[in-house]
Amino acid sequence: MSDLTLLEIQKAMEEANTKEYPYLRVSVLRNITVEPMESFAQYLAHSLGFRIQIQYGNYDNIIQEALSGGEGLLDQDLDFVQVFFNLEVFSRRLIREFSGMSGVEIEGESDRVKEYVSGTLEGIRRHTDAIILWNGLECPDYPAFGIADYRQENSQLDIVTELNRSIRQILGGHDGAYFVDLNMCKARVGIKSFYDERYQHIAKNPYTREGMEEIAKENFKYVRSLKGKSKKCLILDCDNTLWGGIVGEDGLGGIRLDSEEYPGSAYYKFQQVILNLFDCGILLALCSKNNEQDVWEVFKEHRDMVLREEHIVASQINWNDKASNIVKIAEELDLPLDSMVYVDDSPFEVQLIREILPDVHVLHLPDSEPSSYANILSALGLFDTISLSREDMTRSKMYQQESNRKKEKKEFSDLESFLKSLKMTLEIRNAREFEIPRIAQLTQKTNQFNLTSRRYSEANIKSMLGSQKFQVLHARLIDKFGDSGIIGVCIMLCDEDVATIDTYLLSCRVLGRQVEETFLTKCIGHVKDFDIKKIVGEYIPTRKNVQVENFYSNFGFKINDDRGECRRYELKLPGNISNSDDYFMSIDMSIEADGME
Amino acid sequence: MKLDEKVVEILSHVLKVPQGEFSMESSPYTVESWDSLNQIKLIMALEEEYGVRFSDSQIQNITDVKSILQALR
Repeated sequence: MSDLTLLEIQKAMEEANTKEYPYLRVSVLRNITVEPMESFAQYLAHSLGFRIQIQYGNYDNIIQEALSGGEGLLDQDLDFVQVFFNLEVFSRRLIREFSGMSGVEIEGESDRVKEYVSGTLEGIRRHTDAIILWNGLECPDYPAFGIADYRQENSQLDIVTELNRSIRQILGGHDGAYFVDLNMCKARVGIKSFYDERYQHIAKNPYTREGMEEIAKENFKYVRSLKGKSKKCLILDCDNTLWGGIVGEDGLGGIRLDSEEYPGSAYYKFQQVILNLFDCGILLALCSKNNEQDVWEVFKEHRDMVLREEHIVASQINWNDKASNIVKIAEELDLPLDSMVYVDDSPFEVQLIREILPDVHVLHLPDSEPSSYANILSALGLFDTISLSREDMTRSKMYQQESNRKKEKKEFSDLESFLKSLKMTLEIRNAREFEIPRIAQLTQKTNQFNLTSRRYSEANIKSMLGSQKFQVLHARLIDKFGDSGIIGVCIMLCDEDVATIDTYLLSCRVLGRQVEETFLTKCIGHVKDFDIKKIVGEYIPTRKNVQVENFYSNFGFKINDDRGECRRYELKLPGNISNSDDYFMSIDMSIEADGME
Repeated sequence: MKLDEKVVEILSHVLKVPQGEFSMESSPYTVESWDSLNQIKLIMALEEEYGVRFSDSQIQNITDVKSILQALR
């Protein structure tokens, strides 16, 4: 986006066909002018498959509108509330007249800031559960006491930093409220390119074009994550990407890769950035035109390889075209193409993948400048997720287990004996408080085996847990290769004698292991005990969940309504439900019965 | 001075008014969408497209199409 001018972005957006994209509804509360940022927001929303609809609150009316709801500004249909609370506008004293303030006065002003923030958040939450993105306070660039600032009893920089900490704490007391660090945006762009005093004085718009672009991007990292659009897998080219040179020609000793010396040091650092992604749960794969053993020799033998064989979950190292190879990797990992990022230095390969597989996000690394690789990958935040769960941190390991399972699968002639040999235990329970993040995350991220694709925030799940009508159940799968963690969610809405399955989803890691039917059977069995006479299943088709189109009819449901966006199915109880318990070594149901009336 | 195509293109995109409707005399008084908010968007787009930086007083003096062309000279 940086290489497009505002005008070009606007033109591109006027031409873009976004009619079929779902809306992303955003309201902005602010005490500065931020409207010029809208073009960037539109562009970023479009790149995630949304069309954005932004409503602006009145200038400097943040708390008033938070409390009143601002005549339609804040309601339950909203996806995000963005808050731009500028400290210089709110308290000129703390920013401009700081040197004349007494300790007591500083404390008083700081309290006023905190009360304003708390009041605003409480106000917003009275009207909407939408995600709140609070853009934090910016530190003064030239503190009042200059170089002596840190020696004062009250350092201005410390005071603002402390206020940001308080704001983060206050945000932590609300569900779905997040802190966006504007100081980080400022640092990346550089102070001189971040602010424009002319715009500030004339239009109360503090930021330059570059500043606004960076702020929009930072806010959209949260949107990407919370809307389930974070990337999950990084596919790597090898020659001139992971190391300098071509291993097939230069040999193990000839390639450039070194922990200290340029140019090898640039590739070394790039690998460290990638390893960091691995540690955060991103899957790594190789796609390279090479002799396979040459590549693995580097992985095994080169003393400065940061990445090792055990970090790579899938690989296609051959002379076939890269597009088919990427498709194969996607199939092997059971991941959709739009969750993948591919990096390569070859303009040809980059172009090829962009054209044949437009869903894959392709990054071009300029081989004349390997020192830029690390930042190219970091700057985009493609893999950022807001809540890193235990499952994320160990995901790569779990995929490794999965590939062991697949290897073992080959040795069995029939599925049943294979599944039995896994010694699977399925654990089904009511969701508990500490599991809310994982459950919300699954609803946000699961695209394929997801009957309704309803996306829920942590706040949504929490309020369901507090409600008598909702049953939020989850499944965890353990087998002889390891613990897959929480891999399934079933949310039922019970109203008198009807239970509607609001959400039924499974992580694609565990598909084909009889969990699909068994988990649902057990959930239905559970509500049967509460005088439920009828189960209603819903299927909302999306581009990605075709595989579950016939799930309910195969299960024994009768179709009731197939018009409109949501197909409804019914199952009268006690129905004829098949039993697939046999596949499991044990099924552990520890469901509390008092969750319902 | 005559109307500049590029300037009219920028005006048209920012103010969402067809290109043919602009004249040298177009101003916030004659174009409804030309409010103070769009004025700043206009300045930003002009600065970026022409690679220039207007001074405070130039920004103040941009009150119609003619003054834009003058500022860009």
